[in-house]
Amino acid sequence: MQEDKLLAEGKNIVNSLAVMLRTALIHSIENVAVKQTIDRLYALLSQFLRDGAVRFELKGEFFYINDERIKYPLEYLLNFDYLVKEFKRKELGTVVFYPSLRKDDLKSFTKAFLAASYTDTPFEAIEASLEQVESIDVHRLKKIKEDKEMDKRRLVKKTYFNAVSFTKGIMTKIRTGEKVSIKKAKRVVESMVDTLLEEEALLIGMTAIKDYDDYTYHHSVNVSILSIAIGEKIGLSRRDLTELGLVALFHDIGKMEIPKEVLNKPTPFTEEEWQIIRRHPYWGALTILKLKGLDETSMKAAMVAFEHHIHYDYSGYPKVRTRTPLDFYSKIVTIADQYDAMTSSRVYQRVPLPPDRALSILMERAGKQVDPVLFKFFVNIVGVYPVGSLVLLDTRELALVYECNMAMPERPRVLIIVNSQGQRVKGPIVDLTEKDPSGRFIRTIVKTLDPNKYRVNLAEYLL
Amino acid sequence: MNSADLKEFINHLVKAKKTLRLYPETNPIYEKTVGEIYERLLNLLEDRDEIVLKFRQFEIYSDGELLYQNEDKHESFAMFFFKDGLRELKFLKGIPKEEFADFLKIISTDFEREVLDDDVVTLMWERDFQHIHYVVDENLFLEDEGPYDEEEIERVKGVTTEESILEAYRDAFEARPTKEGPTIVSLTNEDVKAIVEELEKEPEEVYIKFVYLLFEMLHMADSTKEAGFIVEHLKKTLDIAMDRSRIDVVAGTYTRMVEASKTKEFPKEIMAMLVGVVSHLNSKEFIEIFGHTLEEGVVYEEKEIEGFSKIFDKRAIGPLVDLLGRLESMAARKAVIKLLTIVGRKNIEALVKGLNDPRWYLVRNIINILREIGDKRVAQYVAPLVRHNDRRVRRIAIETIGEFAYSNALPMLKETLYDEEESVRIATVSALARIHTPAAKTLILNEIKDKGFYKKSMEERREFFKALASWKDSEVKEFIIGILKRRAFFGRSKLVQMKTLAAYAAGLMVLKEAEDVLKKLTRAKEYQLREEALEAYKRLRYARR
Repeated sequence: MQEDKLLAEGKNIVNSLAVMLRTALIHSIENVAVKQTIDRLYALLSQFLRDGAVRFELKGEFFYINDERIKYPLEYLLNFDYLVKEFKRKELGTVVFYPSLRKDDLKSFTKAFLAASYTDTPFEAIEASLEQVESIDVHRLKKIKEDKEMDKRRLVKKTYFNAVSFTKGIMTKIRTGEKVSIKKAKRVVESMVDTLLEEEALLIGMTAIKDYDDYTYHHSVNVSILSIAIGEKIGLSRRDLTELGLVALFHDIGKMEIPKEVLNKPTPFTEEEWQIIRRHPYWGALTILKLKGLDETSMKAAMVAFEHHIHYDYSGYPKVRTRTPLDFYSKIVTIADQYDAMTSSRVYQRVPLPPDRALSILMERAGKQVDPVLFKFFVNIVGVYPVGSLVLLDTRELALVYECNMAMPERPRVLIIVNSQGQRVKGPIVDLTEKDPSGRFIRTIVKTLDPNKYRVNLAEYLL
Repeated sequence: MNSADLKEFINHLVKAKKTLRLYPETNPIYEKTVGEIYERLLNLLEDRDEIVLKFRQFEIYSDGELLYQNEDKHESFAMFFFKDGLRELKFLKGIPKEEFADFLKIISTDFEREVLDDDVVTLMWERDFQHIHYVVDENLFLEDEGPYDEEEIERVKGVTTEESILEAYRDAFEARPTKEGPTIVSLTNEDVKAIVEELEKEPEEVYIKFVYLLFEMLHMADSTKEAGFIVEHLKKTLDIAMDRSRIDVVAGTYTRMVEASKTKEFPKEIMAMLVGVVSHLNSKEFIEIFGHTLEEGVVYEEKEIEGFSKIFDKRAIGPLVDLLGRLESMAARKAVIKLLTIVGRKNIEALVKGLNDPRWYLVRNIINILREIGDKRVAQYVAPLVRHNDRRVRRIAIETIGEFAYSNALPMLKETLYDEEESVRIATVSALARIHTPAAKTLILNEIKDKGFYKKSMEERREFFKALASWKDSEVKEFIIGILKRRAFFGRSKLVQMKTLAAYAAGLMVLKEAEDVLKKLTRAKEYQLREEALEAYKRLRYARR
C-alpha cells in the first residue's frame, strides 16, 4: 500500500525536487523561499522514509522511484524537463535518500547540485560534495552497453516493422472491402505506445527509415509514431496516446480512393488531378465512418482524416464553410504528416528534404500552416539534428545522427560512416556529449549535408 | 498453498466472470462476490510473492500443473484469455482490492454482446495494473498480415555506394556552412497553459465539431446515397450526444439545420434528409434517450432546457408527456415540465390530449403546465376534469377554472359545491369568487342561506364569506350588516358563528356601514366573535386613516 502511495506522490516528489533546485538557482540557499521548498520536499519524502530508503532514478527520459516509473501531469512538464536535462548534464543517474535524512542534508544536496554546473566533471563534484552526507547517495548515469542496446534495437525494429506489416494488411483489406479489426489495430498501436514510453529515441529514430515502394504504409506508421511522441510529451494518458496513434495511422486512408494512375504519376499533377488529390481528406473521413461503429474515436479519426491538410490558418484544403476550431489531434498529425512527407521520397517528390531542412521549413510554417505551440513540442522531440541527419564533425569524420539527445539537442549520438582518414566505415556509434580529460567535448557538429543528394540509404545504417 | 486451493480460486474466477455481469457494481451481491474472491486471492498470496497462471488454448497451468481444462471454445475460461493472445497472468503480493476489482470488471465484460473495439488485453493495458502482470503473444494479431520478415528489412535497407559516401565526404569540406536550422525553443508556462486549456476543452467540443464536419462533408458528397450515409451519421451523432447528456450539442445541431434551411444551403434532397433528422429528434426513440439521462440522475440547468426546447414541435409532446408520467425524481420531472411548458405553448391542442391519461398525477402535472402557459383557452379543456375520479385532479381543475375566470363552467361548479371532498368544495367557492358573475354570487348566497350551511366546517364556511366579500355591492353589504345586527333567543350559538363570519367578511370588505355594529361586537361575550369584530374594526379604522 505504501508503495502505491509512493507512486501516487511520486510526481509531487519529482516536481518538488525540481522546484527546490530551480528556486535555489535564483535565490541564495538561506533565502526563505528556498527554505520553504526544502521543507516541502522533506515533508513529502519523510512519509516514505519511515519504511526505508527512497531511490530516485533517471532512466532514459523518465524518472523512477523505487523502480516504478513516475507519470506526471502536463502542469509539471517544465519542471520534469528541467530535471531530466540537469541530471543528464551532470551525468547524475540516481539519488538515494535514506531514513536518516535531515533538512540540512537536502540543503547540502542543493548546493552540491548547483555548484556542479560550473565544473567540467559535474558528477564527481556532486559526489565529492556529498561525501560527508550519510543520508544521501548518488550514482552516475548508466551508459547503455552496446549489446543491451542491440537487444533494444531489435525489439524496437520488431515493433516498427510489425506495425508497417499490419498497416499494409489493413489497407489491403479496406481496398478489397474486407472487414477490418479495430481491436487488432489498437493492439498494434498499444505496442507502439509501450515501445515509445520505454525507448522513445530509438522508436523515433525508426521514422527516419523511408521506403519508396511502401511509402504509404511507412508514412502512416511514421506519422503515428511521431504523433504519439508529441502526445507523450504533452502528457496524454496511455489510453489517449492509443487513440491518437490510431487516428494518426488512418489519417491518409482516403488516398486509397485516388486512382493509382494519378497517385503514382511521376510527372507534375494537372489542375484536374490536384482536384482529385484534394478530395482524399473527404474520402478518408467517409472511409473511417464506414470502417467502424460511431464513437468518439471514430469521430476524431474522421476529423483528423478530413482536417490534416486544412492548415492552422485554414489556407489548405478542403476549403470549409465554417471555421470550427481544428481538432487537437488534427493539429498534432498535421505536423507529423508534413515532417514525414517532406523527409520521404514520394512519387511526386523523388528527392526528399534532409531532416534539418524539413524542420526549418516547418518552423517557417509555424503559426501559418502548423500550430506554433505544438511545433515547439515537436522540435523538442526530434531535436535540432533529427535522426538521419548527415553531419560533418570537427574531427573530420562524417556521421549520421543515430539517436537524439533531448537534454542536449545539439549533441546527439551519431554513427560514424567516414573516419577522419577519409575511409568508409560502419561505426562506431559515439555520443557527442563525451568529453576528454580536460573537460572539452571530443566531437562537435560543424556542418550538415543532404543525405539524399548523395543517395545515402538511411535504412542501411539505422536498421 | 496447494494446487487444490488454486483450482478453487480459478473456479471462483470463472463463476465471478458470469455473476458480475448480472449485477451493477453497487449491488450487494456484486460487492460480496468481489470481496469473497479477493479474500481467496489474499490467502493464496500469504505464503508466496506471486501467483502465475499460464494459458494454453483450453487449459490453465501453474508451476506445470494443470489447474483448469475446458475444451468448449465458447465456454472455456482459458480460451477467453488465449484468443486475445494472453499467455501468462501474474498476481503479485500486495495487490489492492480496487485493482483486483477492476480486473474482475474487465473479465466480466461481455465482449460478445457489447460493441467494443477493445479486447481483454487492451482493457488491461489501459488500466495499467501495478500488481497484475501479463505476457502477450503479439504475433497473434498479425496472423492475417504476417509479422515482418528479415527479407523485407533487407529490401528496405538497400545499399549506399562507397563512391557516393566519399563524394559526400569530399563535398563536406567544400560546401558552405548550412543554413541555420531551427534551434530548440524552450517551452514557456504560457505554452503549457495554452495546451492544458485546449485539452480541457477538447472532450467538450468533439461532438459539435464532428457535427460541423458532417455538414462540410454533405457539401462534398458525390451522390444522394453518400449524402444519405452522412445524414445517417448525423442522426447517430445526435443519439450519442444525447446519451452523453449533451443537449447543447443537440440544440446547436438543430440551429445549424435551421440555418441551412433558411439559406437553402443544400439541394432539396439533402434538405429533405435534414427534415428527417428533425423528425428523429421529435421521435419517441430519441426522447427515450433523453429520458434515460434524466433517470440516471442528470440535472440540466433551466437555461440549457430552454435552449434544448427549440428542437421540439408538437410531435414531441406525446412522447414527452409519456416520459413525464414515468419519471420518479422531482428534478427530472421539473425538466420535462419546463420543456412541455415551452413546447406546449404553441401546441396546446397536442398537450391537452394528455389530460385523458389514466394516471391522475400526470393529469395534474399537465394541468399545472397548462396553467403555467396561461392561455385562456386552457380552461375549456380543463373544465370537464372537475368530474375526474381523483379529488386532487378535481381540485386543481377547479382552481384552474377560477384562475381563468371561466364562467361557462358554472353548471359544473354548481355540482362541485356538493363534492364529497371538502378541499374540492373550498376550491369551488374560491373559483366562484374569481369568476365573479351575479350567478356565481347567487350560488354563494344561496348556499350561505341554506339550512345545511351550519353543518359545514368553520374553514369551509369562512371560504364562503371570503368569496362573498369580494363583491362589495349593496346586496352583499346589506346581507352582511343584517347578520351582524341579527338577534335571537334560540339557536344563539349558530348565530354567534354567523356573526363571527360576517365580521370577518366586513373586515375584508372594509365595510364602513358596519363600523358601529362592529364596535359594539368588540365587547361581545363570545371570544371568537369579539376577536373577529375587533380585527374588522381595526381594519376599518386603519382604512379611514
